[in-house]
Amino acid sequence: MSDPEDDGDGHSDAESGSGPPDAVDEERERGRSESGRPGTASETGSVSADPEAGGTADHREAGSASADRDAEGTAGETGAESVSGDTEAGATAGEPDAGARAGEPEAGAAVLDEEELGVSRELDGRVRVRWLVGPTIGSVVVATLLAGVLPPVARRVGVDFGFVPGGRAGVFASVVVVCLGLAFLWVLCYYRTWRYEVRDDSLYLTRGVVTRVQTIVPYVRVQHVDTRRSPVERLLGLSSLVVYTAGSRGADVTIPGLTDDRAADLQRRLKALAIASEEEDAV
Amino acid sequence: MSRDDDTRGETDGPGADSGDRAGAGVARETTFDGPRKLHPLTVPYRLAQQAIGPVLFVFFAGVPSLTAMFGPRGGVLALVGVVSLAAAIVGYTVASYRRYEYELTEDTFDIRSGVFSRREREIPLRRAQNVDVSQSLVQRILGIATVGVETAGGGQTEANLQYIGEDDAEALRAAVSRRRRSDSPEPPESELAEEVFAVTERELLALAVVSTDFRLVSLLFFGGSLFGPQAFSFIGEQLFARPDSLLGLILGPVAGVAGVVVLGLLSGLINAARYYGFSLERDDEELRYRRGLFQKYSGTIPLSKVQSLTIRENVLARRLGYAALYIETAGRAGAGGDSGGGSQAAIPLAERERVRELARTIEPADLGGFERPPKRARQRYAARYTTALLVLTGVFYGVSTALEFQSYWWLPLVGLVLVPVAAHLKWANLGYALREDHAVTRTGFWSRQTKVVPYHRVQTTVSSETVFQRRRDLGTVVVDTAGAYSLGGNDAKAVDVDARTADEIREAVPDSLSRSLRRRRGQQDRGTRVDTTHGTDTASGTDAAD
Repeated sequence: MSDPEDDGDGHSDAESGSGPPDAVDEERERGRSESGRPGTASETGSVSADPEAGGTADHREAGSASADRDAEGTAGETGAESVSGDTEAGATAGEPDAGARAGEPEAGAAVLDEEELGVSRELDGRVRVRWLVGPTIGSVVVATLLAGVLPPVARRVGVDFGFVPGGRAGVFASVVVVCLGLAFLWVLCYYRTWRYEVRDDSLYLTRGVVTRVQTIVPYVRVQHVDTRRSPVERLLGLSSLVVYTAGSRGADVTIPGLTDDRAADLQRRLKALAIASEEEDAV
Repeated sequence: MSRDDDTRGETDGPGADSGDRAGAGVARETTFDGPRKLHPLTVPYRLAQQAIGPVLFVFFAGVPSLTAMFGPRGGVLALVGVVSLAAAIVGYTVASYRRYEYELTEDTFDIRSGVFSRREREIPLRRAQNVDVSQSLVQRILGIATVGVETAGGGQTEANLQYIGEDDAEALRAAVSRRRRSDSPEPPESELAEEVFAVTERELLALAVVSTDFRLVSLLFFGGSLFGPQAFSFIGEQLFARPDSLLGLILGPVAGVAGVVVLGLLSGLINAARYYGFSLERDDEELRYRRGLFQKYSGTIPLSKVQSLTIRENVLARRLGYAALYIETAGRAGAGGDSGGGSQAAIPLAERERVRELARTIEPADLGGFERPPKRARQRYAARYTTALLVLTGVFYGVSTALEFQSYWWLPLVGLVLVPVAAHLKWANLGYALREDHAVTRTGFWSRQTKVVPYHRVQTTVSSETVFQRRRDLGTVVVDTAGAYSLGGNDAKAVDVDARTADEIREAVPDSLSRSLRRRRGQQDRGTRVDTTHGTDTASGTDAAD
C-alpha cells in the first residue's frame, strides 16, 4: 500500500493549491493531467508531481510485484485506446480557451468546455485501490471466522483439516488469498468497463461486469450535484461525484474515482447547467 | 349529515369566486388571509385516537402490577402516574394545537408548528403536486378532514393538516388550485369542470369480484394449517367422534372453500366501498377526483404535473374486459398500498375502452401496435422457467430422500410441458413503442402493465444487459420518471429488446426529451399556454422552437 499513499501525499499539494481555486492554476492542473495521461500511460502518475510521475511509470514497467501496481499495468493498455481520443480533442485546442472562461460559469451548454464533449473517459486508476478496500476487510473477517470456527466443527464431524498446512493460519491465509484473488479479478474487470462521457446535453455512464449498465442523465434533469470523499478516497486523493435527479433512481448516478479537481470542475459545471435549466422543466 | 348540506353552498362558492365577485354570498372561508388554526375538535379527536391506548394500558396493566408489588401505596403511586401521564399527553396535544398555524399566501403555503422544536415550512404553490382531502367515518361525523399537499421532494406528504373543518378543507383545496394557476395568462374562469369519468355499479361489482385479496386468502391458509389440526381435532371429537369421519371429510373442504370465498368477497366489498362513487372531473389545468362510501377522499391533480400513466390489467380483468388506471405525480415517495403511494386517484377498475379513452384525454398517446422483442427472447424465458423447474425438482428430490419418504418429487417436471406456453405468453405481453410525444411500454402476463411516459417527463434512461441477455444479444431499457409509483421498480421498461435497439432507445428518448422541452419553451415564449393535453404536438409549437 505504499504507492497509493505516496500518491496521496503528492496530490495533497495540488489539493491545497486549488483550495480557493485559482482558475488558471486549476485549468493548468487539469490540462496537465489530461495531456500527461497518454504520455505516461498512468493516470496515477499524471496527477502527482512530475518527477514522481516518471517514477511510478518506471516502477510499473519494471513489473512491480506490488498488487495495485500490477492492476494498473493491465489496465494501462485498455486505457490507451480511449485516451488517444483525449489528446486530439484535449490539450491542443481546449486549453487556452478554457482557461479564459473558467472563472465565469455561463448558462447553457457553453459552460462545458468543448474539448471534453463526447470523449469517453475512464476513471482514475487509483479507484481500484478504493474498490479493493472493502473486499480486503471483508475477506479478513470471513477468514477469521472460518479459521476460528471451521476446524473445530470439522473435527467434530470427523473431517481432519490436516491437509491444510499450517492449521488455522493456513485456513486463514488460503481464504484471504482466494477471496482477495476473486475481488481482484472483479475489480480489474469492473475498472475496465467503467467509462463516463460528458456530452453536450447529457452525462453518459457505462459500467458493469455481470450486468452491463448504461445511464444517460440529461443536464436539464440534474437537481443537485455532490462531491463525496470517504476517508479512503481522501487518502488516495480521489472524489466521487453524485448526480441527483428527481427520478426514482436518482442517487444511482455516481461517478467514483475522479481526481479532486476534476470532480470539483464537473460539479461546478453541472451545477451551472442545472441552474440554467428552465423553471418549466422542474418536476 | 345536515352539516354537510349546510356547507355545500359554501364549498361551491369559494371554488368559483375570486375576489372580484365577492358580493355573491361568499362565505367567510373564502379568504385565507392571515394565519389560521386547525379545527378545535382536533384536540379531543387526537386525544381519543392516540392517548386512550397508553393511558388504558398503564391503568389496567401498570396499576395492578404496581399494587401487587408495593401494596396499596403502589396503587396510589400508579394512579398518580396515570393521571400525570394523561395530563402530559393532554398538555402536549393542546400545546401542539395552539402552536400549529397554517397560512395560504399569494404564492406559498406556510405552516408553523412544533412544541419543543419549532418548524416553519413554506411550500411554493407552483411546486405543489396533488392536494388530497380525506375523511374517515368518524371524521365525517365530526365534520373534520385531513388535507395533504404534496411536493416532489421528501418521503412524506409535505403539508399534512390534521384536522381542519371539512368546508375549510374543500375551500382550501380550491384556493390552492386557484392561486396555483393565477400566474397563467388566462383568468381563472375555468371552473367549468366536466366529468370525464364516473364509476358504474357494474364496474364496482366487477371490482369486488376481481380484486379478491389474495393476502387474506393466504392468511387463511396459513392460519388454517397452523391451527386447523388442533381446532379440528378439538371440534371433531365433540361433533364427529373422529376427525376423519365422513362428515369431517366433506365439511372440511367445504368450510375451507367457503372461508376463502367469504374472505375474498369481504375484501372485494371493502375495495368496492373504498372506490364507491369514484368520479373524475377535469378542467384545462387539473383533474379532480372524489370517491369513497365510508371514508371519503377527494383531491386535485394538476395536469401539468402528471408524470406517467399506468394501465393495469390482470389476467382475470383482461378476460372480462376491464382495466385499472393509475395517474402518477411526483408526490409521496412511500409507494405501496392503496392508501398511500400516490394512487389515491387511481381508477381501480373500469371497462377497458373507457380507461383507454380517459388515458388518451390525459396523455394522447396511441396505445396499440407495440414493437415486440425479438423472438429469441422466448428462448430466454424458456431456459429460465426450465431452470426454475429443475431446481425445484432437485429440492423436492433432496428433501424426499433426506427424509426418506416416498413422494412425487418428480411432480414439478410435469410443468415442463407448460414452459413453451409460459415463455410465449410472457413474450407476447412485452412491448414498447416510441410515439410522437410519448414512450409507451408494456410488460407482464399475470398483471399486464402499460406505461405511458411523456418525453418531457423523462428523468434518465438506463439500458442494461445481464450476462444472459448478452448471450442472446438482448438488452433492457428503463425510462425513469419522477413518478412516486415508479419507486418499487415500476418504471417504464422495454424488456429484452435487441441490444442495438436498446442502445437506440436509450439515446433517442433523451433526444426526444430535449426536443419536447424546447418545443414547450417555445410555446411559453409565445404566451401560449403549455397544455399537456394537446399542446405539445401542435404545429405552432414547432415553429416557435427557434
